[in-house]
Amino acid sequence: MNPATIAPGPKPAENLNGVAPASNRTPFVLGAFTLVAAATVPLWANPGMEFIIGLVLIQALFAMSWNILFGYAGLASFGHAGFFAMGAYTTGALLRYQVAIPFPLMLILGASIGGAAAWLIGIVALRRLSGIFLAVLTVALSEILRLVISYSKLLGAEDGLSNIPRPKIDIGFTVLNLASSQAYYLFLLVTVSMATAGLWWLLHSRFGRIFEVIREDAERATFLGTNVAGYRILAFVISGAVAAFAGALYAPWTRIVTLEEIHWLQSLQPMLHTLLGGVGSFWGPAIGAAVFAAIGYYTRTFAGLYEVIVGGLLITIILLAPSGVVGMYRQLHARLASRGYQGGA
Amino acid sequence: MTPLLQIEQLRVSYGEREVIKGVNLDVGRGETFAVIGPNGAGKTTLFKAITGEVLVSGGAVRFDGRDITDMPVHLRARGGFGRTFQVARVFQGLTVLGNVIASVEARLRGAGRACGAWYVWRPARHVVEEAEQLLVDLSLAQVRHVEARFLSHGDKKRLEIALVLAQEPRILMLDEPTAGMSHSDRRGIVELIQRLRRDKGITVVMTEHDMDVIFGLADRIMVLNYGELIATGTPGEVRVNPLVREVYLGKEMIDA
Repeated sequence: MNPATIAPGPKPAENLNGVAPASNRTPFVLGAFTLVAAATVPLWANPGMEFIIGLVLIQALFAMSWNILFGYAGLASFGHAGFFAMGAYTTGALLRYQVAIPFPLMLILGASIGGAAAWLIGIVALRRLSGIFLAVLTVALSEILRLVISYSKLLGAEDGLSNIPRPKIDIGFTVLNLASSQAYYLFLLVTVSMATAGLWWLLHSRFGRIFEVIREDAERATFLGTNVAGYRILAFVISGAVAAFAGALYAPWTRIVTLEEIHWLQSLQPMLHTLLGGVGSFWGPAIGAAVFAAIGYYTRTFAGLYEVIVGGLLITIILLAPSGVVGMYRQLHARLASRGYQGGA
Repeated sequence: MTPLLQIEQLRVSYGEREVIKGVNLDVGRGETFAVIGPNGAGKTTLFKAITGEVLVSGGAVRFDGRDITDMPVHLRARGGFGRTFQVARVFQGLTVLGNVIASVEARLRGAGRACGAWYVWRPARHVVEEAEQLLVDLSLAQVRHVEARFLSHGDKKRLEIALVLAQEPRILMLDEPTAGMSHSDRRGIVELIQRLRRDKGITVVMTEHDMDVIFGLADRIMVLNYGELIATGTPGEVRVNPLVREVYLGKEMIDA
């Protein structure tokens, strides 16, 4: 039978995996608009604002790296700041001690260290652990890393690495000097956008579908011939590498890296961003990171207000809209666009 | 020709307690083989030992002449084991079509075959077409864009079979294929299994409680009691076996 002759069934609210015809271009329009707006930041924003928007870019990428695990592969890491710090300390130390390797190579090195660490944890623990045990293990490991760094003179011990110089990149015909915050901001925007595009492709491709299938039902996936443990390790490696990459971009932006970066509160950030923005949505973590930063910015003069608003917001989200901002948007969209399929066939 | 599936002196223990006590059985190519027995007889354990879900403490499982006793589940699946569960397990958050596409892609990947160019993120056309065809075969085409969690029990069961068939299995392991189903759904599944046997010559190993289903489908039946094999034979032979009558004393089996 020719597939074209099959009667069209009702469409789901969600455009899963692009399997249904792609009709919803809104994310791309919004994305393009955001990108243009972000590119013009150095023209209109004051240095404080520009700094915060730069941090949002980094935090968004960090949160997305966490969501690869939680939203796509169905694993929870509670010590993700450890990976972030590995990247941050890599570029921080290499720039601080003026090691003569090109900056892009430093970034790759930072990401590789994060990926390698994730791989080690993966092969040792991921075959046996998932759920809360994996979460606790990752917290413990990031705390160990924090202790190790606190005793390392080379990495600034308790004081951290400060006065990190921003890099110059030799691209053959010219040298990009990223010393000014405008220049580094644009570099940040380009690299974060590229990394995001790469992640988008990965998670929407058949690799992403494997992760999704494992999250939905790991046992069923195994019985369809999928090496679940192997793909979980792969998801962990990608997530660790991207988190470290975000960290590697962070050090030259803030020009200081301290033990704060590995504190477990930092591991909480990507979770909060993901929860607020929307679990199981690709753009959710990025939106969450932006919303949190905006709340932080507009409440900066009222001590304690930030915590109150964030706490209240989280309770509201968890109780009323467990799928976050993106989920609320989708519900609204589905309700306006069509009446969904109602029940059993 | 060797039987497709051979079990030799299979033993399984849960801690101190041995639940499968040296069971032998052969399942021929194209045969439909049913494992029955009272509750707690070890049907499910035997079943899981064959699929690789529980560790075997002794004996061997051979598939197509190869020893697969220590083979991980996902490799057995790639080698031709298709398994359904008592409560249908499908990917709840994916659409019906998305479910089958995932399974087709898993098969192609397992066989080391391309699912289209690596950089194309959408499922390849031939994958989608194959999945659509399977849905037509199993009368699920109407609901192909519906998320699996909204399906009725019977539709979920059919979707699960579609997922398994997308693997092009050589042996179907059906764990109580009609458990908890309405009478009409039950007949639908029996007819589906009969059709698969006829059209694809597929081998079936099943556990089941419903005697109508068993006597309607099985070529041979094995009766298990307290982890021991007490009878194997055609439905007619098993029905008149005195030992079986004793185990099922006064149960529906005798009248079936």
